[in-house]
Amino acid sequence: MKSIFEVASLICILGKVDGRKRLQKIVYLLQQKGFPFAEDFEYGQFGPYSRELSSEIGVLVENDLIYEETEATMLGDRFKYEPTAALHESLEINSDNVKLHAGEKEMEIITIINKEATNVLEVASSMLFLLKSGHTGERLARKLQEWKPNLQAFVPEARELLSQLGFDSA
Amino acid sequence: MSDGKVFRDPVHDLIAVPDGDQFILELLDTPEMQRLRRIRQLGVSLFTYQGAEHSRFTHSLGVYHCVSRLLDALRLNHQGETALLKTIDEITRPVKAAGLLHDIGHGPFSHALERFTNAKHEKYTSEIIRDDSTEVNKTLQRMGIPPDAVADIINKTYQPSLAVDIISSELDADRMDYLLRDSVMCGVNYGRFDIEWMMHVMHAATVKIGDNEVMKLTADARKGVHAIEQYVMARLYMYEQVYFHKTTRAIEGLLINTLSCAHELLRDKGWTSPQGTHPMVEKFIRGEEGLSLGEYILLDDFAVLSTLAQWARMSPADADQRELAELSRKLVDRSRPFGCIEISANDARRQRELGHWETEIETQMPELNYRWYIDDTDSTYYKGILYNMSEKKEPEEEANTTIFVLEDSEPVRVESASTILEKLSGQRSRHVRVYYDRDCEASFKPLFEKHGIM
Repeated sequence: MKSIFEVASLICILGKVDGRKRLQKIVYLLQQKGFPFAEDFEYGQFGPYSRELSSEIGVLVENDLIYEETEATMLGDRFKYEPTAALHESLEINSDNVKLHAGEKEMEIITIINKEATNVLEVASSMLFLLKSGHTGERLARKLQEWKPNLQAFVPEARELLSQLGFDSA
Repeated sequence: MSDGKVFRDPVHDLIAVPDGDQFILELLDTPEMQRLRRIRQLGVSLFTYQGAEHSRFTHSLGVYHCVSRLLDALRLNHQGETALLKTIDEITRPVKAAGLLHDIGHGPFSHALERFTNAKHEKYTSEIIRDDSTEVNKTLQRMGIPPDAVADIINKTYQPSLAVDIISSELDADRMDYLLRDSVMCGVNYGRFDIEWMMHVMHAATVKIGDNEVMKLTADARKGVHAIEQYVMARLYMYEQVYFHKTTRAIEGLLINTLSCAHELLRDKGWTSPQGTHPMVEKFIRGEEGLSLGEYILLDDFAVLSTLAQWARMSPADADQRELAELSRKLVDRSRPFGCIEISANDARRQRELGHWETEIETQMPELNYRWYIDDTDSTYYKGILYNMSEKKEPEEEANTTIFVLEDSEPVRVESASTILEKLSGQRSRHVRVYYDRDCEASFKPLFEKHGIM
């Protein structure tokens, strides 16, 4: 449970999270912006993915700290999350242990990320992961084409998001 | 010209490197690869299992062997499928190199030492392969294997993803070797599984997951489901018996505390380390500046252990330095491993109390800071050892954490083909343990009792 309090706190700030994939991408992008999330991310078919984060979400649900709702979609199940009253209470009790402080600057970054569609977050986080593992220019474009042929339409929005967040995605 | 080479191996009997794999022999001879002989595969496990002396070098050679066998099995099981065979031929050399090099960036006791730097071993693995100053990179280039392709396979950013799956997936060559090797070397038979039959039933298949089509390693369900069950159970047993053995985790906790104590002395208290302290170990523990690649590859288990042995012999007047000497001595001499209290993962009350205990002990007894340790298996590297049998997965989790098998050529989750694995669905295995120095038990006891932990 590397940063379970921070994940819990983020869910409180977001209010509602529409899908685990969405939460994975938001946490990855925030981590890259220097937010205190300590989870390890690996590259997967849908971009950066953390088993630890997945496990932390499970623990929060098991302890009734977040409410989970399942939605069956054409593309498989999607899980939506909302904080419970117990989570607010628990964060208050453990406020000394929460490293995520949502000041004005932090809230601005969270808002920029959270207003984007999940597909844009998937492409942006994938792009950033590839950039950080040494793929730039043509090589980056080729990798994105290989990995995300069905999401190419979201590349310009993803680049714009990365630029707003201060990352160079050239 | 070489005629190839055969290595004797305690797990696979003979590992043959044929003539066509000359690049493997040349990679084995690089100093970066030879360094892995000085890094134990299981870190401090040898303090619990006296046979666990095997190195990352032997494991890496074993992974190369498993990769070769997997590729041969796929060729055999997909005879006549021209497009797939062409793909297999194209990935063969880079994926074999990736199998051998996948752990090349591992540091000594890596999970413990990585706490003092932001750099993970994966970063160093990538750098050693890509940086044109290393012998590994030069060898790959000389042998016509693109270093970027090898690094991409290890970083899981390579397409076709079948190459990635062979090195790192739920059915990968890495796990196949380390489960068998660790179980043989530790003398724990639970970790064994029928690798011969596993190889016999392996297939590649395109699986539709969400809106993606993913080429994955799979197995024939009718022939192979029992071998897969045995393999999944082997992972569970090795996790419980070896990787999360309570004594091993106690010693890893002591190692982390010892290094944390040294970190505080070096960084915050202006300590000048004694002669015999390995300069790279000191720089790494200090953690203020990253090590260059050249410096990093000078680190190994021997450097860390010889440094700790040196510190164990100190007899300073200063109390903080005496604490470091005592911790080092306890570790080097394996003197009375920390006591352990197990907190059930389902016991929310005791877990909450543990949080309060932690806060109180930190504030009320700072002098005992390095004499206790909380270990949560959900926060550690080995968690990926367990197969995620949750029934509730989004497509992303299906793609990253599911074993698929083929039923009438259709890929399905292994749980739907196996009664045993279906029964285990939804089970989670987690250990929360508090470790404490038994020499200080009298100091810890009142707070343990106050919070109902003991």
